[in-house]
Amino acid sequence: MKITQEEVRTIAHIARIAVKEHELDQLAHQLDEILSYAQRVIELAEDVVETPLVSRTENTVRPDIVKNSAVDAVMGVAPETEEGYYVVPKILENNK
Amino acid sequence: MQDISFLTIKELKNLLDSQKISKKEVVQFFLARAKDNKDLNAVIDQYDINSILSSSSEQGLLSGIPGYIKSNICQKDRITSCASKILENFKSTYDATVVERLKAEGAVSLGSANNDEFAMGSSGETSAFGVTKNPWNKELVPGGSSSGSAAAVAAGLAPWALGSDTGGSVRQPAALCGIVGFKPTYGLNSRFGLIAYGSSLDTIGIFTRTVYDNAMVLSAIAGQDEKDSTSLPEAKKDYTKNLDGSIKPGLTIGVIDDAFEAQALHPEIRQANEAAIKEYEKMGAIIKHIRIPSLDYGAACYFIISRAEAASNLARFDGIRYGLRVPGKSLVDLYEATRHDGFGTEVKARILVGNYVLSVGHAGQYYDNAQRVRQLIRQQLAAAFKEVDILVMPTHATPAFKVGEFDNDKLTMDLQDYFTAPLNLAGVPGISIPVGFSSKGLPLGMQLVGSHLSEELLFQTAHAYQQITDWHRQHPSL
Repeated sequence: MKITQEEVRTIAHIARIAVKEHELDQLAHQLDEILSYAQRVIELAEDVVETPLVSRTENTVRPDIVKNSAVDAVMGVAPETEEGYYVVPKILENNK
Repeated sequence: MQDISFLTIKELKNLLDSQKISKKEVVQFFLARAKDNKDLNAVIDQYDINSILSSSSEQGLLSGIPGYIKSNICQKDRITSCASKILENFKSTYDATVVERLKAEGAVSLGSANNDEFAMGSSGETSAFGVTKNPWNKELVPGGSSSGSAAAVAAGLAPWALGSDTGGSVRQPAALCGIVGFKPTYGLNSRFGLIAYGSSLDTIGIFTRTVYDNAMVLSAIAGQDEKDSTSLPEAKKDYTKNLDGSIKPGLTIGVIDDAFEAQALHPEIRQANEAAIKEYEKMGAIIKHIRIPSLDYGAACYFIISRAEAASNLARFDGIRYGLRVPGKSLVDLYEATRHDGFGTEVKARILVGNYVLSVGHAGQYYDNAQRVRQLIRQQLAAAFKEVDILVMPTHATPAFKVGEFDNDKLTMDLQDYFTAPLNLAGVPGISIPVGFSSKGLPLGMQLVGSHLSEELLFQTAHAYQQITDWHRQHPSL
């Protein structure tokens, strides 16, 4: 197989990672190498009788009791907050 | 004061209990030793003595016993960087459950240990804070991803360290550094506070120089946790109970022939493993030969599942809620710039592979088939455990290698997981123990594999070997 630079660009955008022009080549090569190797699962998988992948069949539950959730401490590690909210760049533009 | 660098936990505990040495003296000793060995780069964040002494209980199973914790395991009010620029200044707001339990048993954390960024790597080289050196030969890597934890214990900077093992990240560096590395059954140790890489594979493992010490640390941390719904309903217990030096009467050991026939396996590792199996035969174990044909597909299956889960888990590092934020004109620009600058190349490549194998048009080919192969590996291991009690195979294919050796051959680097990842896929426990040295004086490891929740048998079997050999008593001259 051959992963193209265009595919890297598309996947990187899905993953929300900016990619610089000079990084495309190496990433394409690295992806190609690992994905080519990984294809070997296909030949083996054909022989597998499908059974659901479960390690445990019972659900784990606990009583739904409100506990101290330390919201302030957790908000405190964010890069920018205001009055208990995360600050982000404006999402909606004032158009039409 | 006597040199306590290479004392075991058990020996150190005796000194502390008989008051021949104080907790403060122990901590001072190991902090000084860490300073003398700073060039190993095993430690990212070294804590100061006052905060160390005040942060754990005065009593307990591990009272006064110092260790290191991998930088992807949360320690309250300490930097939990995952050796990544994106979390360089991130201070955890809580203790991981395993850390909480260690502190409650009196253990002391001296600092956070270096590792491959977000536990992604097999050499320690992907750390944003520089590679860790192998204490046996500083030109070589210690293995990874728990590179600093392994190097610290091997170098006598502490008698224990915690690591995480998603595809072999505790067992492989333990083998390359000549120490004991244990990966528990999936769900035995709580993952709460372990920064996730591949959630269905992640386990918290333990480094020590003896099997007995390893069982002591497990006794402190194992057991169900209401904060991790995948933790198993296991009660706390004493894993040292069966360690009397004997093997289980009638113990049957299965040698995985497929592993010993692997082309990439270094002949000296094969020989050392075969010699160790002979020792078990002398102790009275019954040796059988077992085939696990799916083993050869384990690494490929692991590549797909681990990257897919990483793509999902690492989506949370977006510049909004934690760590680094690189400004952008729009929200998407901000995400993309933050993740571009914050993640290293290996992490980015794994996220991209993960998104690829999950994307429309490729998921059927890659992800779905990997799940089928995972099921097959699980079934074949379960079938083997109907015939034998324990399986053995090498931990690693080659002894420690040079820094930069695989810079242009990432696939060979990734195949370091070849013998270890199948255990994570099946969720079964494994322990790597030192079984010899190469002609160049480098440590060689062997992996014992148990069925689900067979930790007691696994430790008993590994401990018996250490009673008749002294590989684990050798240490680098530092």
